[in-house]
Amino acid sequence: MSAAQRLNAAEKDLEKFIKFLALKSTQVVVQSRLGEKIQTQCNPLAGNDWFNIVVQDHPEVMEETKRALALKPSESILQRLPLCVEISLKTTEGDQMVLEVWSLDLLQPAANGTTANGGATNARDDSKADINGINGESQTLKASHAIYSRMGIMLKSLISLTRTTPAYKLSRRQCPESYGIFYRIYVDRPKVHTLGEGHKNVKIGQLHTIVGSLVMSVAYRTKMTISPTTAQAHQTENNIIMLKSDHFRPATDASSPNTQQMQTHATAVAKKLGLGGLNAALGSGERRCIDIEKPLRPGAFTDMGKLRQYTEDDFVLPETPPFEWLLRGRQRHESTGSGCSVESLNRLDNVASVVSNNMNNNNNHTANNFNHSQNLNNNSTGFKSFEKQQATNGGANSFSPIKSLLIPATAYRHHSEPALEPPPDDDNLLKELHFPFASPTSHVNDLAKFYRECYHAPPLRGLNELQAEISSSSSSTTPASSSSVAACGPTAAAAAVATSAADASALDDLSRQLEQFETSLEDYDKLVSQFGLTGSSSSGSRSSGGLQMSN
Amino acid sequence: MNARSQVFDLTMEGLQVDEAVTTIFQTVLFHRCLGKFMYTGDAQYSIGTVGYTDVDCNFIDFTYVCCTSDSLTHKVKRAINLFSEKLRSNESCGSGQISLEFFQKKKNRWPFSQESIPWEVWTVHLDLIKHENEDERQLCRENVSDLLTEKVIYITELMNRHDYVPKTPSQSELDLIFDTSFPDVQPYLFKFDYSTSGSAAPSMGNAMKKIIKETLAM
Repeated sequence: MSAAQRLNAAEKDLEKFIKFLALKSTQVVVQSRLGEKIQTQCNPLAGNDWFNIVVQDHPEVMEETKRALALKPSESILQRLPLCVEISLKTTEGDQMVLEVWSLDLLQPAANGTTANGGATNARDDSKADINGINGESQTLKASHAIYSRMGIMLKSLISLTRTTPAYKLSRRQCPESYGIFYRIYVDRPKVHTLGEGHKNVKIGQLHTIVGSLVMSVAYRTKMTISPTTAQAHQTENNIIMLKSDHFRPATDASSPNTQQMQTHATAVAKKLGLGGLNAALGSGERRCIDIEKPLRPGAFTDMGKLRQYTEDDFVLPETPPFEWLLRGRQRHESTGSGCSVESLNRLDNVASVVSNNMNNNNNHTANNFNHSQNLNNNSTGFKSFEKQQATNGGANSFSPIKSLLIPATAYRHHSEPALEPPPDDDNLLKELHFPFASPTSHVNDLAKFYRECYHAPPLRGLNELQAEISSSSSSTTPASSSSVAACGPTAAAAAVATSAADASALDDLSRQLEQFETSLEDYDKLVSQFGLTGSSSSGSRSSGGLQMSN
Repeated sequence: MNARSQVFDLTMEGLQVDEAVTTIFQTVLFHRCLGKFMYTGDAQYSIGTVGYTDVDCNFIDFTYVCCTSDSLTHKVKRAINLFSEKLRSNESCGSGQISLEFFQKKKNRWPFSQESIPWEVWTVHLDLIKHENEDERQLCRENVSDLLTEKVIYITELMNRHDYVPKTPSQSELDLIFDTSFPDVQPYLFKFDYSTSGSAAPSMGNAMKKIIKETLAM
């Protein structure tokens, strides 16, 4: 047998040893945390236990370890280290605390100083080989035998040490009424940061081998006080409170015949917001949802469309200029699609929507009316694109026919070229643009009006004609004065997208002007004229209509 | 003869002595015990397996691990008990030490007896204290537990160094290295030694006594 082959065989042996050391180590650690005393019997007649130590194998732990290692048949375990066993405590109240992390790692050969120790080992191996008086082949075997016995000592140390850390006492005292001990096996660097301040590191043993230096160690928590706030504080500081993304869906899905009309509408809009959210998430990549709505569950007759999920961005307090956040919503709109503008406006709605039942009913009523007329305008391509969008969302909700209302919104990007197609109807969305708590006399109302006017560029003339048709058809069925409002909506919205590029350049101006407007009403008037809204009259009527509904 | 030597200094109540010393020595012995060797030829053998047992202390908040071997446990217990009784007796001044010594035998030529060469010595030096009340006792209970944790960590650290341990011999010389008297485990040859003299340098006098005794025994 050549030297290379022998080395290869030795490495194979070593890999096998390491694998079983890993398997036995996890058994030892997890079993020591079961809360019971362990006794295993000696077997003087050469048992088959690895490292000559009787460690029972719990199938579940074995499975977990193998799952964590995820070794493919040809894969070496050397690539899968470090292997960690994390022991944590969970109280019945749900507080959790990581107590310790046991790890088995392999440092690369370059990093170890094997001169002295390795020499000693070799001397020992040689002498053993002498004793056995067998040929060179067994010398390699003997070298691996030395490693084997060293691993045995390491495992014994592990067994001894698992009884000394604070988690052992805790695990012995665990009971279902107060707390339980949990384990987790993973392949990664040990996550010691979870152990809190002042955690201790203990190296159980280090073994120099031809494939590297095998290190077994434990890091454990020393501060055992569990404060319920620590978990929360930890979470808030990282802003990683996870919000169930379908938080409002159960309500929207549970449609009863009485409320179906309202709810289908709500579903559509909620989905819309969801789409906007998805787009935004795709755009910025890292926006995470924050659940502050949990305590603010929507009331029985709340228009679900006015509710939205909060993201980190919403928790940035508006700084100067005071209402810059309105523009931020606008910016997002430009970058991610039309849906988000609604989002940013609806931000104001969360409190008010609960009390604005009348308005909602009103809204839904008119919205429904327009659904009829608007369905006629839908083109099938838009529908498909929406379906596709929905498919990518993975939304399991079944959609009512009214969902098609939203097609234009997603299709806007395709319409942004100056094509004179029949404008997609967007009335429902525009309904959402009102400020529910803004009474006609309040300041915010002015601001809302202003925003709407700024937001939507003047409609194209061709579209105006079309809108007249729609308004006439809808006014026959709509009792309220909202017909013109709704009619103007789609054209304005479509135009907004078409001219979004131009608006972008004026964005900085807007923020400055907003600031000015706050101090002076004249400035506001000037500003409106400065934007040269030729369709200001129609926009004005639209917004006033919206406001009527909101009251 | 340069045996490795480790000394642990502990202060505790008399009741805790047995368990504290047992914890340390059993942890050491657990590491120094192999499975029984079953020789199939002079140089070929298979090794039995070692079981382990968790033992809870009564007077210290601690659990240690030892080999599952009644005979070994009994031997250790008896030796420590002798020491502990002497230490806690009225004649004692409340201070003493006990050591666990691993040695190997060396055959000498006929007129001379076998020579014992220690290669590792673990010594526990003890000072007894008395507690005034139960609070103090409880505090001490925890302190001793922490102390033992520290010692066990230290022991495992030493055990995993690549220090000298006697080579595994051929069958004929097995008794020179290992204690083969136990039916289930095979520790390296070991013995206990203790002294309870309260003097500052008991080891020196003890060592002298030992030398004289050994000389006479020849």
